[in-house]
Amino acid sequence: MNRDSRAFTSYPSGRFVSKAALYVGIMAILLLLSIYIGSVGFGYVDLALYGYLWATVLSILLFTARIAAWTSRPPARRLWRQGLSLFSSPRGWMFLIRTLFDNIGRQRFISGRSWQRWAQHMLLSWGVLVSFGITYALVLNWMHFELVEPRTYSVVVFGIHLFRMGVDSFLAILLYHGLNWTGIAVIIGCLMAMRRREINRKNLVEQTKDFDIFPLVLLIAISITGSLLTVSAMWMEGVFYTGIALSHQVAVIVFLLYMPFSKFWHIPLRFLGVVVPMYHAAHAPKACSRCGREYATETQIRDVQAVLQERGIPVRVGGTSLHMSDFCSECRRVSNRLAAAGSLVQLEKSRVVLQGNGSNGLTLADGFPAGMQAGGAESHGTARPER
Amino acid sequence: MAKVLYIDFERCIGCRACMIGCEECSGHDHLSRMFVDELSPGETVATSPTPCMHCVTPACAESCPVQAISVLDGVVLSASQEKCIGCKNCTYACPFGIPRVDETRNLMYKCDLCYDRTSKGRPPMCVSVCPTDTILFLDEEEARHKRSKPVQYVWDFGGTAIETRTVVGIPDTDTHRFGYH
Amino acid sequence: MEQHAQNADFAQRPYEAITREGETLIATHCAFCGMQCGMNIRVENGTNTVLGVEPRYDFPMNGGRLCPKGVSAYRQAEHTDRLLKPHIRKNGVLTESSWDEALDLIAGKIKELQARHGKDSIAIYSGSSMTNEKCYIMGKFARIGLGTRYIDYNGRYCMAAAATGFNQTVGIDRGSTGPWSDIKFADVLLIAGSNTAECHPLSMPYVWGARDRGAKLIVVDPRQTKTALAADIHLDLRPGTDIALANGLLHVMISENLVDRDFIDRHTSGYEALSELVARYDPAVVSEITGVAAGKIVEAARAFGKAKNGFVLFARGVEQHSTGSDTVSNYVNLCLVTGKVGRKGAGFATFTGQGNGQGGREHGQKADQLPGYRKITDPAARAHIAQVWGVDESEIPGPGISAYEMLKSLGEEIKMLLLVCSNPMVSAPSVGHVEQYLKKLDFFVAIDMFLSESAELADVVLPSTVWLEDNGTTTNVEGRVIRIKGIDRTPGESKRDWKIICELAERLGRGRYFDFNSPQEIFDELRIASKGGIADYSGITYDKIDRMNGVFWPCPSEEHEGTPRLFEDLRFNFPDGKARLHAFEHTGPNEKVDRDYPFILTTGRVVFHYLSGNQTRRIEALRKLCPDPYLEIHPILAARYGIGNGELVKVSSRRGSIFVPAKITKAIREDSLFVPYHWGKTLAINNLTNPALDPKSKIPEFKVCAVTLEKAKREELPHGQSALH
Repeated sequence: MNRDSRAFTSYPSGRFVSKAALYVGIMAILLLLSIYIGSVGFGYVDLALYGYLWATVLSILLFTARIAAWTSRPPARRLWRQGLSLFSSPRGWMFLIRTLFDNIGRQRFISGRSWQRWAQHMLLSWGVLVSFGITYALVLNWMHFELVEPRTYSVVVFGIHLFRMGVDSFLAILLYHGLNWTGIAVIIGCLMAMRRREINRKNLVEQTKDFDIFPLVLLIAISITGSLLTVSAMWMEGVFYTGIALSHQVAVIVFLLYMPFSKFWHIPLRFLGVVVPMYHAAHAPKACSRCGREYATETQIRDVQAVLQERGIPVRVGGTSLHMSDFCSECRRVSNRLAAAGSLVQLEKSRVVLQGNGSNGLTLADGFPAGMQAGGAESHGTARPER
Repeated sequence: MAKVLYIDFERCIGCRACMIGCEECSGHDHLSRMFVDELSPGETVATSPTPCMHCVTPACAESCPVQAISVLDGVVLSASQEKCIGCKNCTYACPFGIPRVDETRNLMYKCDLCYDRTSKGRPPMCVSVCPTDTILFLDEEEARHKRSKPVQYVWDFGGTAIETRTVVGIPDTDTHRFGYH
Repeated sequence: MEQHAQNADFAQRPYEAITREGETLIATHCAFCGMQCGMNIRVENGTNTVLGVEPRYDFPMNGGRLCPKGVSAYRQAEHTDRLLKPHIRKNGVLTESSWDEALDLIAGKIKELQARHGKDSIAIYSGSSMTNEKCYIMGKFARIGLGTRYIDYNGRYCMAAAATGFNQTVGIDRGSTGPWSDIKFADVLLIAGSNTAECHPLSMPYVWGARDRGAKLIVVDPRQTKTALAADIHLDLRPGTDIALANGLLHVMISENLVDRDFIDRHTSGYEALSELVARYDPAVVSEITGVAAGKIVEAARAFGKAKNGFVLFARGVEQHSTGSDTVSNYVNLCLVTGKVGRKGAGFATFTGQGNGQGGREHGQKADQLPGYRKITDPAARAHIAQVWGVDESEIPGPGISAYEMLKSLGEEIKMLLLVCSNPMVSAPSVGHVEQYLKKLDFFVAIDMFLSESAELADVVLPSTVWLEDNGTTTNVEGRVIRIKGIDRTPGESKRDWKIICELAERLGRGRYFDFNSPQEIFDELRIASKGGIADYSGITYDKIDRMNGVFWPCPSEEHEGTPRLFEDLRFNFPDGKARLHAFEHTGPNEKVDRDYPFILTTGRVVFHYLSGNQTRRIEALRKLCPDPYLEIHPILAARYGIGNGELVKVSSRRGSIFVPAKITKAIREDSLFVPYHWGKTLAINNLTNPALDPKSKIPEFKVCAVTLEKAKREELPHGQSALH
């Protein structure tokens, strides 16, 4: 199989490398600073987590490089910019909070598929996200526990004593075994996911083995070895502890380094996805230049046209300022066919008439005047759903 | 040799068997990826099917902010379910009007040339069911050199050339030998 | 699979179906229309659940291709609307009950009514969408289970005119004189009154096959259908003027000497009278009657006359008229005067509408017919069938009356009706009256898989099965007998129609004549019953059908390989072997337009629905594509009435009216309107149609009636209809 999900035309690589280097440098400094503050001037570095620490730092830097690469692509950059604009208005914040809750909080996007998939994804994603939170906080020494009284812990975050709790308190057990709880959630989620793949072998093209099963196996390995650590410590008086600890560490390090280039890459994409509802809702509608139906927002059509222009493949209508994307999908399909059959293509809302350009595209028809702006002000069609 | 779709839309009877057949392909989740459009409603009853054109340089993939659309053996696939954020860029970028976004699942979906069938050497569902052979599955060379009609597979959109693997037959408006008047 | 030589020129393709793990494919045929396209049904092993459809690339007729109805046909099997238990009307409401209660009630009523009013007080109204086995058993049950002369079937609205026309002209009624592949080898095709592309889409590869070889395509249709779009010559005649048009074509061919005198002399009779009559139909006269430009008539006649080989194909558009059978004969005349019959590329055919429209009219569920296409009035036929059935000849009743006549007379002699596989509340003309007729019955029993508009009115409804839950044979448009195969499961308590009839016969004390345990047992009796008849199935076996991908009747012995092409010896089925050229004067439709009702309404099908829509309207994929009827109206006429696209219009005839949204299109003539007929109740265009019958075939005149129209006012809209568009 020859899978190809790269960009289809090449990028100027120099610009990207310098940009990526810059971002990675900034991120490295920020990380170092956060560790310094969190560990109170490197006073509380947990040496048992030393291996994890370097893997985490490396993983974050790799992630940064990948995000830098990704956001240098015009479509991603445009959407990022749309995302940043969210922060400039109260309405944007409202949208942000609501979609964060919908997409990340309760993950509505997947409940449309089936409730099992929703449950499975909730367990997996929350299990993984909370694990990340705890791991980063502990490994990067952002947080630690201090025994301030014989039976009382103080929770210290970035050197600040946040609160105290009894050693045997419910909260302490919840926090201390946090990774066990998330581990259990991840195992259940992984088993559900594997079961679904077995039952529902639908030949989804993307469901190739290396791409899909390996991450699940890795997650299960991490969760099980992690849980065994607890089992060994609490009930087996530390039998095999070192061996288990080592294998857990290996699994986690593989995971951390593999993450920016694997299935888990979709996690940051989901956070970008939060921008989309606002992108679709907060801008003026765009009417199809042929039939007048509202099918998009003006901003997005402008973005798409700019993106294709930057990538060197603008799809235009000859003799006019129109792009194919100024038509709704149906009108694009129909116009191509009409032109192929030698018929004229009437744009109902303006008086522009198009014809085939002789090489399978569209152009202004002979003997008909131009004089129309792309997505002009005469957009007043009624909104109909895309067909 | 690679096989491609060939569309002779003068034979289309607008029955939409291809659209319903498309739902039957396993992996399509009962969502049709075909289109059949009336070309000039009220004037004539002419219709045409449009499957994905499977561009060599797919504008849909170029416009995707999350690189969710990939190409497999020359076939442009639906967006990866885990990556797609439902932004609809692809639905606007495609000059042929093919990708769609399923609102309930917030996912883009499009023709994947019935991967399940073509990987087993069978024609896609639309070709299998089309009652009039409007949609055919031919060797690429054969499709590009139809004797019955001129064909389109390189499209000039205002100076941008886009090559497609799907080939469309153009009505022969002089003789109408293989089409209608 | 190795194809039999008879299938060499068909449309099969060299692919194998995909069989998936955990599934079995059942090779069967589509239920929707006489093409009987081959398809595979995907069934889950173990549970016998129907999962979907898989193309059957090796079946000659369609090579795996399917229309939208075919693709989605399987979706009625696991449908939530299915009737799963018998229902008995109690206190006015259809209530679930047991089979014993329902069958005892029915048997009791039959005995009671027959004791009081005589044997003929019970009638059967059956259908042609059933297998040959079921159709056969309906005829037999009426005649010797109930002993009534009253049985007829919905094919009366469909194939009756073609049957009568063929019989009066060539003496045999098989839908097509040749295998469908013959169409590809025609040099000219004349398709009249058939929207082939929508109603028999899988015939289009054959039509295009001919056209790609350079054949001229002539389409006779008042509408610019998808078929007409592909035509070289489109004769857009005024509905109801086909006889005149055919006369015009005959006139030109005779006057320009494009006829085959040698063939006429040797193989036909009646030519003198015909040529004398058509002499009066010159193109100018015909143009005046039909509204078709004279030049086009001449062009078409020359194209047809000059071609060496040619096929005439027609359907309900020419048949559903009060002159239907004569119209059929007149179109067949075109082939006969030019000698286009009996060889590859030459012949004539009617497009069978119903799934088993051909087989259903051969084996005894017609009012005047016994199995094997025998006449019920023929003493020899009666004797043969009596012997096969093991009864005395006198026990077989005489002929009954046709479907619509029967409906009209309900409550007179007929006190109880058994309705099977039919939905006259949608499909009969002037349906508004049909409801009144049904209400005159003492007792009304319906057998159906869904609660149809007609079953809703019944006193007892018995749940039956969809086609893929049973086995049997059907006979397709070509006269090819094929096998329907199904799953070994029926949903809920539903039962197969033949099983229901056998159990009812048992309760009536006639069980010994209906001791069947499988469709194959019924078929084996049918074979013997049909032996020596016109439609002779005696040499056809289930194995042979599988082996040959269908066997064409007549097939008089087990060694015989069937008869794909009729009349190869140019002998027609009359004692002298000559075909009859009948001459027909144009009289026009029964109801003509006038000042009060100035427009012609014609009705028809859409590609998404089958007959009364009881099945297809429930399949979401199809319903979505065509949820409601609409009115095709020409823009000039629409402008005259101020009607906009999608606006509701009230269309009325002398019999009733309907509110439909307008679909403004140049595809229809200015003087005509078109509405598809697949809906019931307030959406039934058959509220308006004319129940005038063709005196010969008793087919009603669905295709023409006089109507008036007006833009609907808001306040007139019947409840629930404002959401139509």
